[in-house]
Amino acid sequence: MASSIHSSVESAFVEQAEYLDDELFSQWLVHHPNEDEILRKLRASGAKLLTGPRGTGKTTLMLRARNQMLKATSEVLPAYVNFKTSLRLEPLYRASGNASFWFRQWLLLRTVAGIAEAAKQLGIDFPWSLLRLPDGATAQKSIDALQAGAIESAANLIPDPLTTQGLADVVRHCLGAADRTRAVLLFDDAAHAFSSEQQRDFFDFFREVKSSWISPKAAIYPGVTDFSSSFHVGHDAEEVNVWLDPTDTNYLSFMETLLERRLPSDVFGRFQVDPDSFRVLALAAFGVPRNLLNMVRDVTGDAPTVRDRRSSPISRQMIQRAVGVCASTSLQVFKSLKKKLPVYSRFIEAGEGLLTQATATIKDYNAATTKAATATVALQHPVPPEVRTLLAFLQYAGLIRPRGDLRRGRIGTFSLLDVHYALLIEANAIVAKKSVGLAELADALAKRDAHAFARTTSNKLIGAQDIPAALPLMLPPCHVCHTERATPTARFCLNCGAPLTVSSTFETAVSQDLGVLPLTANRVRSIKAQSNIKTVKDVLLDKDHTELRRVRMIGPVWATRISRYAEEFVE
Amino acid sequence: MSKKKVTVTDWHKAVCRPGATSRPPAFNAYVSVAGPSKRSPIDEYLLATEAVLKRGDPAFFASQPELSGLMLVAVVSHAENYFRELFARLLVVCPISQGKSAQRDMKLGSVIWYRSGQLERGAFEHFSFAGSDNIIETLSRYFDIQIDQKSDPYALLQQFDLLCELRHAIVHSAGIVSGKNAMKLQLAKTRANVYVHVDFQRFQEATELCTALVCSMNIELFRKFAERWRDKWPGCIAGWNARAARERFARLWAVFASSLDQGNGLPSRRLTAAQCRREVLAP
Repeated sequence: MASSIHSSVESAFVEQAEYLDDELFSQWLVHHPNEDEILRKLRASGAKLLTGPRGTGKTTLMLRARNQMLKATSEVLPAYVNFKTSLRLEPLYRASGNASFWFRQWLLLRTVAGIAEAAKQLGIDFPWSLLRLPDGATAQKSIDALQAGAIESAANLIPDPLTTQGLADVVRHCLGAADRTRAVLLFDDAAHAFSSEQQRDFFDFFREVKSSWISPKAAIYPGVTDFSSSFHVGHDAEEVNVWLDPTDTNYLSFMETLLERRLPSDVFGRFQVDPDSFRVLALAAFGVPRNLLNMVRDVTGDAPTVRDRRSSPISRQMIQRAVGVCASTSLQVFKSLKKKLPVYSRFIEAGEGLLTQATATIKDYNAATTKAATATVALQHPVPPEVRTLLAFLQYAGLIRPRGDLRRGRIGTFSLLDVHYALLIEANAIVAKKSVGLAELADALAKRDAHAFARTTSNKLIGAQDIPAALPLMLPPCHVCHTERATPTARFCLNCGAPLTVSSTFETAVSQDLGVLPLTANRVRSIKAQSNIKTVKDVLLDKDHTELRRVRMIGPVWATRISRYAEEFVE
Repeated sequence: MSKKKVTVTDWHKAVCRPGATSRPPAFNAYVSVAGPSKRSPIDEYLLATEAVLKRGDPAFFASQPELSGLMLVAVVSHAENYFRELFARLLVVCPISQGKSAQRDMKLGSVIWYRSGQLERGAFEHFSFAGSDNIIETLSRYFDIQIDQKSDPYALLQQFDLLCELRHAIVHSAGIVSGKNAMKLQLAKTRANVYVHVDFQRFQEATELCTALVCSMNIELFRKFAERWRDKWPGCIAGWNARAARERFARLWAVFASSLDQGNGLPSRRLTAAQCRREVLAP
């Protein structure tokens, strides 16, 4: 069974750990370079925040920690909960005065369901009666009702609201039954990147649930996470960065092991005989294993047959094209924010320009220097709040990697920011030559000098002197009298007193045209022509893929993939 | 002739200026008179806060920091008055509430003053509605209405309570937050005085909270009273027939409906009073 799965090249490219079954997860697991320390922190008591952009392995580490703690010898009861669907409750914040309460009920219900799952795996009964819930099915129905915005149904299903005290009682009961001493709650996709109200409510919940025998651990995105006023990183939870650093000495060996575990040996062998190709791809992945898997798929998927995939040599053009696709895909994650967050559309447009300008600055520096090449810009302080927000979006998309601040006395303070290597390779910004060999490119990227960086300013990167004017929030005027808002955060019109509305992030995302998903134009056209699916919401509502399967050339694999694309778009 | 020592007895006047006689000629000059409003309580609130909102632009808060707290007090006061107006109007229209409140006491001063009209308003004069406890208790004791702890109004009342801690500091101690208020607000401890600071953004947020409370309470109470109109009023009012039902519903609608919001297309459902009545009666 395992070998048949292993032999399927296509199945090796399922990039998200939560979509792998347990067998494949164990088989394909690769140790993170700092895995022992990270797993120790995930198992230990105390609250932790696991940070990293999309695809950096947060889920993998959490699942690995859970699997370790589920072993009979462990003294810890682990519960893994994925909060990726939390944005579905975001419209409540626009329509209800009690959204925080219902979001907390959802958090508690999801957490309870996670503990119940752990109890099942440990062979112990789960005490639903302590929560005054008849069974797990009722909890699941309540979760579904809340995600659908059906508050009255949820209120009927849970007549007695769940509390953090009730949760603690349940955990205490399970610890006794399993003969364990403490619990670890692993909250994956914990604070949705684009719903700051939910983020604040989540961190209030996170802080309250923490005790001497309950340790919450949350996986969050860097830059775009908004903590509640009562939550202090460092004091309330320790931050653990899992984003692999391409400058680490163990980086390339980790990525090699990743491919060795995931790919059939003959396909992997093609990279073994051509280490420079592998090094360029691994470095271009910029610390994100998912990027590497995608690029390898691009390279090995070029061959027309499976046999060819496993034997034909890897050309320089194939590598360059794969890196180009990686750069474009990483940019696409960032550009998709324009559709998800129309309020920040100018920021996203300016972000593309910022990356181009940063790349050009690095290219100029590398062309002039006689020392080691750089991939870092040093951004002079003060950094305006608008630019900080933009950098946070770029960090979320994994396009910019902050390396801390550099203080240079009178010259000033600088934020050091690495630019995505794939963008730099694509722009030929690392080695100032028209034709660069893969070995030379890989050497230049791998041998970095910590003191080499290209200085720049916010004005240069944005290409404007008046940054607030260049980066406005795209908020609609008052819908009653059409007067412009006094400030971006104003809640009422100063001319007529009417409330100023902000549209729901979730509703905005799901109402987008199908074309926002990473599908070819032909496929989008055929889906629209041959089914009733026109928007992202239509895909999400097509739960059993009935509509998608009506489209020619869409079988179960593609239907599942399109469905995942839609889910990822709103997560 | 020996000099006689003069006994000084006014040494205490050294500390500050003398307090002159101050007797305003007529307190009538401090008040203005207007007939009872025909608008619904929510429209009264919306109009009043609109006027305050229009004054409170960013320039006002930047140039008049000493008045900024009073803007917050004004909005909270309008929210409080919404509850007074609403409760008084509900006592007039709801027979069940009349029965429930029959056992409640009323101050003689209120009876004498309101003898010529609006007597129901006097029933609530000795309560402050700048806080959730009295609002919830009044709804229960006078109207037999319980506010569900899972409801929108309940959640907003909890937030309103916190806002009223700030109001307390502004009204009673020149903006200095007392220990009790600070503890409820979970402010960081400090040895220095903590002052309420209201800028444009905070003022808009506070107004948003008060407005959300007023609107959610208006919706929730309309639902409860409309159901009561359908289920209980027919048994309480002699001669109940279709015409009486229509008239009574129209009076209830007039208590709750905001013509301002309806004019601006703000309600999430658009119904006339007649359409709404039919939906309430629909099986």
